[in-house]
Amino acid sequence: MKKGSVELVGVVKRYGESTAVRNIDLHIEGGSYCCLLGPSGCGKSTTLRMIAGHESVSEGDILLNNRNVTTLPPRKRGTALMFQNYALFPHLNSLDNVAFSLKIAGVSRQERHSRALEMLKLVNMESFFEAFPEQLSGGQQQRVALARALINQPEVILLDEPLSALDPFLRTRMRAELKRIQQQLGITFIHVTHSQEEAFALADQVVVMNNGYIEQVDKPIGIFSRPSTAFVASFIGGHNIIEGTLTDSGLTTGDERLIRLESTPLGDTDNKAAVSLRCDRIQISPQPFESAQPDPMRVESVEYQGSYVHLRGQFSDGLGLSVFQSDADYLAAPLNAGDQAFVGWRHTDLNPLRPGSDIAPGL
Amino acid sequence: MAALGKTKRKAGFIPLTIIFILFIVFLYGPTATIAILSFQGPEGGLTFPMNGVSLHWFRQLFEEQQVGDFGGSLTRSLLLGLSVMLCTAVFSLLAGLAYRRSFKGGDALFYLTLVSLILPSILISLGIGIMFDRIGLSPAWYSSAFGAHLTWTLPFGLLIMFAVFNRFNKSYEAAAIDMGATAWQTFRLVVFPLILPSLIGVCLFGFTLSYDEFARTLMTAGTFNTQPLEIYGMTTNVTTPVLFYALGTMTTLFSFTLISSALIAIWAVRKSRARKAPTGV
Repeated sequence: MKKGSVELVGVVKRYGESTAVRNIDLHIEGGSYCCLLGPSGCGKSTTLRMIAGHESVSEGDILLNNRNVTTLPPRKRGTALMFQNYALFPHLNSLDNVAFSLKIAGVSRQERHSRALEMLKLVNMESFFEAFPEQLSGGQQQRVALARALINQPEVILLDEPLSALDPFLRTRMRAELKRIQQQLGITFIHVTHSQEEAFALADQVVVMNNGYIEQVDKPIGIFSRPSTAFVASFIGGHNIIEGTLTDSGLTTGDERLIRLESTPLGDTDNKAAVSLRCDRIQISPQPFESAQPDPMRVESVEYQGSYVHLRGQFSDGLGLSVFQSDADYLAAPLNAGDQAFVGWRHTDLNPLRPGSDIAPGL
Repeated sequence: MAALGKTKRKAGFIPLTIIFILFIVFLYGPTATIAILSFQGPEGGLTFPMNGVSLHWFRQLFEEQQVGDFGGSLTRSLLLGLSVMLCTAVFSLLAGLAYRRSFKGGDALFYLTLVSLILPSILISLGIGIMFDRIGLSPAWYSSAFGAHLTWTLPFGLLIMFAVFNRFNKSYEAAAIDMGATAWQTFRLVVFPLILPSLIGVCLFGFTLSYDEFARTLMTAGTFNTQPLEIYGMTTNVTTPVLFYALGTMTTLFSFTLISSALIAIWAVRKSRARKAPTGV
């Protein structure tokens, strides 16, 4: 097994009456980049803090390198936590911030300073070694915080929303930087975020969490092409969720509309089921075409988004759909709000959803 | 923007400026007047015009008077102030740390501490004086007055430390613990340096509150007077108040020196940090 693997077995976290994390099982491979993705309050930060050892575990076990660390203090785990607002000590300059843990370990002043300078070089901050946190920009503070987390050669780096304090431009840049450092050092990164864009760009493995549960664990491509639940599909965006009743020939929705399915989703007791359909996999045209639904949809809004156009529409039976049309197709035959348009899709693009989870709130 | 500000002032600017200037004159005028008058010639004189210019009264200040012992009382006041300051800082810090977590009886203890702020000073002074008398101890500036001063400075110190720890970002401590620091190392290397400026504030506060305290010392000082008591005694006995003018000038000068040295120290630290930080990028 590769160094730096993390395993959660039946982990539960309760705060008095309320439960933040409900029975989580998760395996994170050593040397991989894992993102915990979910809305605020889904338990992702709590999970991270339990791995770091800053939060006690109510039930279950946490294993690092197959070693049970559930009750060990943070420093004995081989993890390093990077805090959301970096928590750089304001009274110490960059060099002493990075060298802090070496000072604790009793390393001589000269050695800890030379090792800290090495780390600052890794994050391209060596020229700022004498600067105090208040003199650094957000991105610079983050680099110093990363160097501070890296100096003890941890096997796992835990990052709590590391990019949320940065402006969008810097966020994209630091994202690439994080990935570069992770690949260069080959250590496990576990990164908590609420941005699916960030998770998709960085992660080898995305863990989507909701309400204390894990909804889905997969590669970014897997998450986006085959979301397993209605929550995942709505949280990552760009998907329509079509709910209906299962029949022998497919999914019946609205009054009479029958949607043919490639594979049969699991229905609940009432035979209710749902599928997801990517907005960019729906063809839309003012003229009817072969795979189109028999009746046209009324276009309700048209939003220009640059490379694509976001159209929202509704059929007369109430089924609403979002469609991402490429700008080339849109410009060839522009649709306006109020127009009638035909839509269609390949039935292989319909992705059956696991029942029993709620849709992301507010999405 | 600057040009705009010059051309268009808000309607209230001139009257408010006049009020502000009057306030400043009211605040510092008497001090300035006394400072000038303290340089009177040896013949003395309470008002303008001055009878010559000399340092006569400053010399007088440090010679033992028939009716008062200025040097001795000053020493006592300084010693008392410093010990009160030290005790206040240590106890406020420890209490502040204790109150970061709720503990049994914490609220009651807090209100009990605040009671001594609300009670009239003279009553506390009287009470402590009577208590010492009952026990059969003779009150002195270093025992009963010391305790009386602490009833005044401790609640203030505690309130300041509450405010400090309320604002204190706990992630600094979590970060230190994440890097392997023990509880004591976290305190010594992170918490203490971060709250040090506030602790110095508590010290200055404790010292000044004790140094000029009159009412709480009145019944507790015993045989030897602290400076405020001595001055009060002198006002009823000394023939010329020019001596007080000199005294006022000296104490004001002392305070200003203290404040300016603190400001200079802060400025020096800022400057040295700014010099070290690279300017580029």
